[in-house]
Amino acid sequence: MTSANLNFTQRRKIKSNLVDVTIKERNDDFIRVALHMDSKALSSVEGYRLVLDAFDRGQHERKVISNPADQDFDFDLFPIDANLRFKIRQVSSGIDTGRVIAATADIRPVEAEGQIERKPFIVPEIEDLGGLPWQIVWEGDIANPKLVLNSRLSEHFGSWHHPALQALYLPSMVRDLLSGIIARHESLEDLDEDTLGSRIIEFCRVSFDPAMPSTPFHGKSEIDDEWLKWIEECVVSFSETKWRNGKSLMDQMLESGS
Amino acid sequence: MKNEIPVMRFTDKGITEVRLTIESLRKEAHTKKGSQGTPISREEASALSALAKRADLVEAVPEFGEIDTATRFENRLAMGEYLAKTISAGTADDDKGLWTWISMIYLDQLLAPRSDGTLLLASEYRYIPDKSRLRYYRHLAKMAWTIFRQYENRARLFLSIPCHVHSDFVEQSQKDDVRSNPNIIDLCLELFYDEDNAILKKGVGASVKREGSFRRLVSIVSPQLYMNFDLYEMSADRIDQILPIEFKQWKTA
Repeated sequence: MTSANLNFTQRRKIKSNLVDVTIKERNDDFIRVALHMDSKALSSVEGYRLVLDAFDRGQHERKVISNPADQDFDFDLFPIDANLRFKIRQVSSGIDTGRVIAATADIRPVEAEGQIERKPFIVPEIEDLGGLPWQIVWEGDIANPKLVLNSRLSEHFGSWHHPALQALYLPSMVRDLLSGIIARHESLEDLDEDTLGSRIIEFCRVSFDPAMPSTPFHGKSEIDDEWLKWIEECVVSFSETKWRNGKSLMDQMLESGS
Repeated sequence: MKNEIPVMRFTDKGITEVRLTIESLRKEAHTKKGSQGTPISREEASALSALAKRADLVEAVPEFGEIDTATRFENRLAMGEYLAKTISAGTADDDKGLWTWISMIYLDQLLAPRSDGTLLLASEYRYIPDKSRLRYYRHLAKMAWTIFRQYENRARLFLSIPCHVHSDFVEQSQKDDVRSNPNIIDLCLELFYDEDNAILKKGVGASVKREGSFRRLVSIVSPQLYMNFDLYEMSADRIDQILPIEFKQWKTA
């Protein structure tokens, strides 16, 4: 069963590039969030309510959106340093009340100062790899493979996290990392929680739309097709997600070159 | 007999001392990763606990009153309830020194007893809060407090276990979509909790492959339902109506 099969009510996806969630202010009383949505993001159906859900560590707070184009919300349930993620849902209030008509994947907000809350955990080591741009080394602890970027590339671009460079290697590296982890383990339960393998799979699960398959990682001799499809969908979502300054990797790459 | 003393917290130096002591005990025993813990003697446990009484390692927390160090808790629910009354301010959430100190004063209740008389000392994050997203919910005392504050009596779903136990049920329950939704909690109480005996029903904690298990609900079924329905606005009864038939087994269990 794939994520498409699970979507049995034909829920639509609200594209992340049509939504902007920015944290404007944090203090002891509330976290103020600004929402801007492109009207194209919404299904033109009658009878719905639009909600903004915020989450952090088992806590949830919901706000009803009345002006999607431009609205501020004060969330008062969370601590000042909450690592918030958001989800927008368009929910039917008609005869099929409660059905989700459309929804975003998880949204990681941009801080008003321009900094993303999440610290990167895909941090490559810089080594001379000859003609190879990057590499994942699976020796030793296979749940904690070593990510390596060619030192010539980081020197050429000035940093391993130069936008143009990241746009080139990150999606492929994520694909190889997910494939390698899934190929080398029997199931999720084999992965210790604090490993890179566990973190990348958990990151994809909570960040992106595709639902994880319910099947084991492996068929008789190869990775289960549903997991391969899940990996592909995660890589597409990863590439489309807005990271620094609300821009996708490709957006940042093109901007850095102009 | 009560033994009420002012609530204290470990200073940074005190936290370091507790950490080093735990590390030392676990290192000496060559504890394997993933094991249940390190067997330590009652004397070693007492010495670790006694760090909470060292004036050079602790400081007062004036905003809280007194705490009874002699209280014996029936389970984590009782511990959570007592701590929620005693540590009333939400600001305590971020106080690593406070939760380390509370863990040390109740340490003997947070160590699993073994048949040979020794006690099992678990990983450091069971006693010293770790803010990591993957570990924050593994602190035994603080999570009892957190869950009780969030759900009060409904916390019995998660906390009807001995104080030293961090069950797989608690682990799986930390997913945001589950713990953050009171309607799902109500549904789980209805399905999985034996009110007469105040424990989870037998078989609830089975693997994700077992039909009707809590793990299946958390890992497979609820994500599917969230994709299609607004479960935050649906009552437990309403969610029950759209659950797969595999969960009906609990109605008669």
